[in-house]
Amino acid sequence: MMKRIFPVINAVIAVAAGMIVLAGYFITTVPELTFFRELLLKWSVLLAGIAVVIGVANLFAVHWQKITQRKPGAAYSLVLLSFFLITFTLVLSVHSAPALEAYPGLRDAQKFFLDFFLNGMMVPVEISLMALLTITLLYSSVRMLRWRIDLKAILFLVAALLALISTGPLTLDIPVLGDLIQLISTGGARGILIGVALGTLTTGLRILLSADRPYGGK
Amino acid sequence: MASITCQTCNMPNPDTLEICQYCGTPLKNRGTEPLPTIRPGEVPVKQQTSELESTLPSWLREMRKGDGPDAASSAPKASSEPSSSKPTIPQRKDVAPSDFLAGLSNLSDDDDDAEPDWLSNIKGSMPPVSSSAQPAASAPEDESVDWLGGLTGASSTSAQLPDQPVDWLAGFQEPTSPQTAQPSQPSAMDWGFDDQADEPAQPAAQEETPDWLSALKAQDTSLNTPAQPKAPDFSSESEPSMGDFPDWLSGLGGESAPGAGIQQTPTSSVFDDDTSADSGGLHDWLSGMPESPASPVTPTPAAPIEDSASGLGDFSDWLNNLGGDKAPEPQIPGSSTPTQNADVFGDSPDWLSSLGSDSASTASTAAPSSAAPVADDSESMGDFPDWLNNLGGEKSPEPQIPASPTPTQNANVFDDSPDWLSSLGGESTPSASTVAPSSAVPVADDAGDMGDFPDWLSNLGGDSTPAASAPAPTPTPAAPVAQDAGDMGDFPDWLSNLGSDSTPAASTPAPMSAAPVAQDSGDMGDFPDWLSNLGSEGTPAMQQPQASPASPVTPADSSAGADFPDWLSSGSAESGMPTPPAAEETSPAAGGASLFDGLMIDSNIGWLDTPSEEKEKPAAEPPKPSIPMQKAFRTGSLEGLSPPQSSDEVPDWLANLNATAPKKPQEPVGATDFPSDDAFDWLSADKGGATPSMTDAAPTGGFAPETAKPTPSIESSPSAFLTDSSQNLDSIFSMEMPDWLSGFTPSETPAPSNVTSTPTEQPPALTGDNLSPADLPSWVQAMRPIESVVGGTQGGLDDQVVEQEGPLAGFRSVLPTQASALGVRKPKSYAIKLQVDPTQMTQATLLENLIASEAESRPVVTAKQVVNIRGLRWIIAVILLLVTLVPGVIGLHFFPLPATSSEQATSFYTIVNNLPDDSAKVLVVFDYQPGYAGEMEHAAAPVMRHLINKNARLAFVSTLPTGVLMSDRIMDLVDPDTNPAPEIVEKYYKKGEHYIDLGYLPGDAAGIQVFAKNPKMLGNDWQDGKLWEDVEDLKQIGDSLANFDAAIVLTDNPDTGRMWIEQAGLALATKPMLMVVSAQAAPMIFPYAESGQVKGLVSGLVGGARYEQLIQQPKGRVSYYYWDSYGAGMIAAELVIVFGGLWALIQRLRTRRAEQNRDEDEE
Repeated sequence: MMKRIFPVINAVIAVAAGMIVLAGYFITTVPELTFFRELLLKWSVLLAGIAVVIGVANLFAVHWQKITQRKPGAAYSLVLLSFFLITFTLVLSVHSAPALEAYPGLRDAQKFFLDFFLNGMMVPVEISLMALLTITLLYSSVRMLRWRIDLKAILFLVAALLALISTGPLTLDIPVLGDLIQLISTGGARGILIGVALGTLTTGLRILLSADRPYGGK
Repeated sequence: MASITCQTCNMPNPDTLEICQYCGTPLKNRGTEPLPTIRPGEVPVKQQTSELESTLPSWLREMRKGDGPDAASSAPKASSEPSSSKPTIPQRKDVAPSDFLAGLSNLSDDDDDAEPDWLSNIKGSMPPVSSSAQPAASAPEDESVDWLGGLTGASSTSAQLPDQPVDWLAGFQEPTSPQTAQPSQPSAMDWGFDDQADEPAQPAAQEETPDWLSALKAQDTSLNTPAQPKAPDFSSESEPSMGDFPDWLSGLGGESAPGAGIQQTPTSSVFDDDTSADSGGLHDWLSGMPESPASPVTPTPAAPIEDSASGLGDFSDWLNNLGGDKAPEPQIPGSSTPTQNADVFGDSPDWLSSLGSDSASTASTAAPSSAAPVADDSESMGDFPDWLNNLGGEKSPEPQIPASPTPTQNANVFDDSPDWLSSLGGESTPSASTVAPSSAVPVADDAGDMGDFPDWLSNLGGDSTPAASAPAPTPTPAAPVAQDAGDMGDFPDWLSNLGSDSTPAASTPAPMSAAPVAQDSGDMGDFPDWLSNLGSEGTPAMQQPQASPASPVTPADSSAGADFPDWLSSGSAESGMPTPPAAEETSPAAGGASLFDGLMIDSNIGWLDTPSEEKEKPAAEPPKPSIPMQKAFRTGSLEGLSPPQSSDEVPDWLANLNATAPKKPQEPVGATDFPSDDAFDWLSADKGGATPSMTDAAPTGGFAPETAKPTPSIESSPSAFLTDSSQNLDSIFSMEMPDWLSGFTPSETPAPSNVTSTPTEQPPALTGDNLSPADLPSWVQAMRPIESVVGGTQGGLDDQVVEQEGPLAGFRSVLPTQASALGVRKPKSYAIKLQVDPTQMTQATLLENLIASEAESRPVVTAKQVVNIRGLRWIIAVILLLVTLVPGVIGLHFFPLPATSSEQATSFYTIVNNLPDDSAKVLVVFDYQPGYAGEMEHAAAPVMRHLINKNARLAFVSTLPTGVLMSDRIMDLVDPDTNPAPEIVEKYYKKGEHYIDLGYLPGDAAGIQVFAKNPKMLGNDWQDGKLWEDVEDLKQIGDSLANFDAAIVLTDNPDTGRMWIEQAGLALATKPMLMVVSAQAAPMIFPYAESGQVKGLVSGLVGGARYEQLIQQPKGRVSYYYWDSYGAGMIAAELVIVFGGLWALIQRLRTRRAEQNRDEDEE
């Protein structure tokens, strides 16, 4: 019995929330509708924040399990959890900054570790990854024609080459070429954005019509 | 003398014997040899009958063979020891091995395999010996079942009495001895003489006898009623002698007894002398037969009988006795004592005695006083089979034959009759014709024709022949007798004896009284045609004397007799028995002796040969006019059979079958009484053929006035007679008649009237011209063993099928039923190859390919392994490092900064620049990842510096957890304490005073939506917890995003930028939304910038460089430190892509060409 009712209730709630938010977006004259819309949106933000916390907790549990079970990659999990706890602790210390005002050394240590973890580890690592991506993309561009020689491959390679040229320092002074390349890229981007918009609209309508039930149930 | 030990009784037997003298077991196994095969398409080759003899069943061969010497030895025994009356079987068999009765005895005892059904039936119906010993009252009951039963009964007794041939046969011997006339013997009661003697006993006998026999009896009795007064005497005399014989034999003996009783003594003496000397082959009982009749009659008739006996040395004794009985009959005219026959047949079977009675009747016809004996005969005939009665009846009319004015009638009758019957009649006919000396001619013909006939058949003919000659009291008939004897060389002894018996009957030259004739005719009315024909043989003879007593009848009869089977002709000869006596009278002993001598010569069997001298005698006589024989019947399949002129080539029994004519003469008498419905086809056919003869006989013959007498008796008897006869007929012929028998159909042409009108046509038949050599017809050939039909099969005895039913039962390999029925042929060969059309072939091929393809394994398509060229990677990396580090380290500033800014960058700058100084509230969103910090910080740093320069109050917010940290990095860049280029940061911003970091905004679009509607939902700084209100300028922000002077979104993700545009753009209302994006997200955000939703856009490092140009920051970080590295790296990347792509393309083309060349080389 509940198995039949519960999905229906979920669908009703989802459809109702969507319809209320949608209507409140268009109908601003109805304060109740706006109230309910904002209330639902706040609930969603809260739920999203809780979801992040749950996600962090899930991440911690998974790697903790790996460490406890000594599964392969448990060392990486241990490093992760270690830096997780360190960061978490540092962050908590940050929030206790007023209390640390009396202890300037502690405060500087706190700032050092935060900057170290951010500027010395996180940002350079990620930036280095982007640098490796550059090398990989170049390598792939070179090998692409080696693997396949067809129109699509050639066009893709030509487009990438033009994009590089258009954004390069040498082409900045060529307005026609720069504008042409920007025009082409902008056109393509518009099409993508329109498609994304239509897809988002369709998805929203399907969810509102309960055609799709990402919240579960058939 | 070597001996053979019987395997059954372990008794020694002489090696000359073929059958154990003690138990009757065959001592020598004689199998039937298969005939040479006739393959399909082959024309049957004409073969001699003798060649086919080996194929006959043993019992037939036994019948054909005759053991003369032993018979001769037995005959003297019988004659010398009449009282013993126990002739041993071996004697009988040795003496007359060809005697079919001897074979019967053997068959009844041992040879069951070769025994035909009809013989086995005979055996089955035989009364046991004990029954024969029963009182006369019961004997007829047992024996009346089947007249043949007595025959088998006699044979069965042979096993018990090895010394004696057969009981009933022994009875023939008994009468030869004077002791056999003892009235006290109980056996006489068995054989029905009591019945004959006692009139009240006759009905009982008739009841037990077959209907048709009883009917015949009744007719005989009715016809002979005037003669009945003498019956008591006859019976009284015959009783003792007939005691051991079956009724039918006793009846026969009874008939012959009258003569025999009178002449017992002389006859026996004659036999003793002759048989001991010549006819050693005669059985005792046969040898005894002639004794009794011969003796009473004048010695002259006995002589021919003796001769015949000598010639018939192979004849069975009882047949010899018949002959002996009848031999005296010719003398009967003188004696006119019916008791002779009674004496003679006293011990003989009824049917044999009836034969004797026939002769007796003829004898009675000779003298007026013979009416009484005739009557006795008729009474006695009641006990023996009709056909035998007919035989007897034939005799009675024979005396009239000479007087018959229309001899042609008989001829016609016999012409129309089947061959085998006509032969019978024919033989009788010549007897009628023997009145004239020409009778010798047909006899001679018969002799030639019947050479191959079975002995017993030829004997019949032989009997009849002399009978035919009998009417003539002249000595000429003797010659015919001899001729017949010669003709009957192949005939069984007993039949030849019958002929000899009839011969004395023929000695009654006196015209027969009409009464007996009528009796005979009436008697024959109810029995089968072929049987009635036997009687009819006499009938025409009876008619002939009435109508035209002229002798010309005889030629016709003789000619017709040529068509008769020998054995039937011999029967007819009985009708002609009156004649032989005349012959005997003329040539008493010499004629008879020559007769059998001729028989001995004609056939390989010595006892059948007749001295050529005797044959010459009839030949010397004026030849008879040859009367073309006309058959009264179509013989169907037998039509092609030629008359047995050369009977050497025809099996005897087949030759007999071929002759069917003799029935007709009988039917005239019987046809009036027979309901045609009761008759079988072949009987009715015979009737049809016989009817005209009857009609002819009625008007022509003076028979009519005399038949008036018998008519009432005939009419009276048939009523009760026919019903029974029909039953008996059914019982007798219940077996399925073969086709060749059923094929007898009445012929159209041989109408009796025509015959009577053309008496001259008969002589050719007498001459035997129409008797063609007996070529085996096709159907006879077909009757040969199946090997003759199915080629390639060599069937032995095992493969030969023995008929189980029907008249051919017991015959082996007679009907090739298997081959004909199964239609053996090579099976038709059908092509195994399937006929298919092209369409079907195509479809089949397609299906086959599909199935084959399913079975084939598909090659697994493996992805080409990507070859990772690490060197290239390193080369690219080195190139990029060099091109980026070298310009940055060196600081060549090779690449010029962008001279012109873009519209969006300019708009961005304008908007920021237009912000109110020191009071602008700007929302800065840090939504980019730390990885994009190198690009975003260098793109956003000019904007942040511009804002700082404007001393705007900043609120930092991020939808990414790491975005909060990015804001700190940017503020550090502009922090004058940490900024290595303080000139760039003109103004130092402190947290909590100049800006506030609201921290992380969860919920993406929803969070943006909520934040856009209520920015204070994130009420304080996430680090130090300062509130909006702590920042001086931010107090006015309130609960609306539109309270910000501008919202600057720093993002590397176009989706995040789009989300901010979509969710916060509307809340900003008129406030500009500015975006600093990475170069990769610029194309996606550019549309929003062009659409006005984003008022200013700075994208990538180029946008930061340009924005630095706009804020006029000459030594900006980007423009001064990174621009050359960026420019060199971009060009290096472009070159790598271009040259790397070309190199890869060329390499690919070379590889493909190499593969093509390899394929071509392989091809």
